Amino acid sequence: MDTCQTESRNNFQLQFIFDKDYQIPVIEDLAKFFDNEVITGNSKEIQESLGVIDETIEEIRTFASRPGLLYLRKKGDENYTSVNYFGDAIQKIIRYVVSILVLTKSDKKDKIILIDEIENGIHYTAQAEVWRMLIRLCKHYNIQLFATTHSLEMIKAFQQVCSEEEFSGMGGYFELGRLPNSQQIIAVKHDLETLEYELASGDTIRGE
Amino acid sequence: MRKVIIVEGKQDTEFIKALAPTLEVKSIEIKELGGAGKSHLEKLQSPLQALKNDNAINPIEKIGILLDLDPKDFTVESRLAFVNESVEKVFGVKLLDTSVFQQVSDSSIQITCYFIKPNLDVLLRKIASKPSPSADCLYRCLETQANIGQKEKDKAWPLYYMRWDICDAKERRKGLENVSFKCTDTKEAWNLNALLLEDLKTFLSLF
Repeated sequence: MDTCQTESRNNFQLQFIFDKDYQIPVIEDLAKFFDNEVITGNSKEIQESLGVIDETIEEIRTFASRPGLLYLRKKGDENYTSVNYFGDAIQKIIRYVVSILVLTKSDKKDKIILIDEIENGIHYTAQAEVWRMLIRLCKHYNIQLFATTHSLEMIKAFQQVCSEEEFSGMGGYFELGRLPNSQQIIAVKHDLETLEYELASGDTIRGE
Repeated sequence: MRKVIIVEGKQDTEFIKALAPTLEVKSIEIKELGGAGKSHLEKLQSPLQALKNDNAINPIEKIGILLDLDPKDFTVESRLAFVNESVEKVFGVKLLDTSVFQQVSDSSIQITCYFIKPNLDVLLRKIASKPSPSADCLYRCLETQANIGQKEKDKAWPLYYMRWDICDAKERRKGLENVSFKCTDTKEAWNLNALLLEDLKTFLSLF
């Protein structure tokens, strides 16, 4: 896919997702990936993964008469709806799911997914749910996720989700900034309790 | 480099800004805890940890912790122990006394603390400079109520004084705006030259 780079190192497999305006989610590629999975008998995993992120989605499939499109069917619905009608967020999530599934095919012990500017295209009301979906999926497949963002709302959503019982102890926040003298870039770890205080008190937490 | 004073709440912020106008000139940051009673230990630890995090990117020179002593709950020693529980956990140093800076090793940070005796609310009552018939009357009434704790009574007096003795009827209608230390200080409701403030002024001059 245009928006993903896969890299295999000695000990781990890496998947890098980044967004640019000219690199909106390429559903055609996802549809091709899905078709290949169907042919090789692995599509069940995608179905199950979608269940992990949204239990109301019952089925995902393509139609030969409508090439390059993915369709979803929700529980209780008879009709299939093109993912194009689900907005950027669900398309993005499907892309994340596929990227994660690509990673699971690696025989490397450690698998890492990097998502740049994770907030792009996701409405602020859906941000917490996106974190929940991603963390559930990464936990399910034992993948480590690194995501970058400048969005205060996305950081707030992350802190909120990580304080929920289901996700307790599963997330960490690192602020990147420069050392004042050497200008070297450093990462400062913020524990989630302190992050909660910092967000509530309006402290600077984005390398300002 | 940055200098930061941690206080309990908004009224403390307004009070020390009025008491030491140079704080603003020197761009000293003031952070509010939102309470620091005996059941609020974590409230001190989080801002200290936040400052430690921030120090890596924006170095801090001095940190001051300004809390009420609240003699009903603490002695000076036990209040110092309360502060040290967080300071030691976050910075690995122990404050030995009030108004004495302790250097944090491998860091630019010096840290100290000061306790307002007995607390800001009583101190404000002592430095009120205008007649206070309404506040005194309401306070006397409160004192007859056995089910109200001393701390709540102490907190009530400055609020009564500002609302009923200092603000006029029109100002009271916009209580959120006017019933504050900052606003009443413009009406010379407080004697900021009182001798009992000298010790606190000396502490603030360390920054």
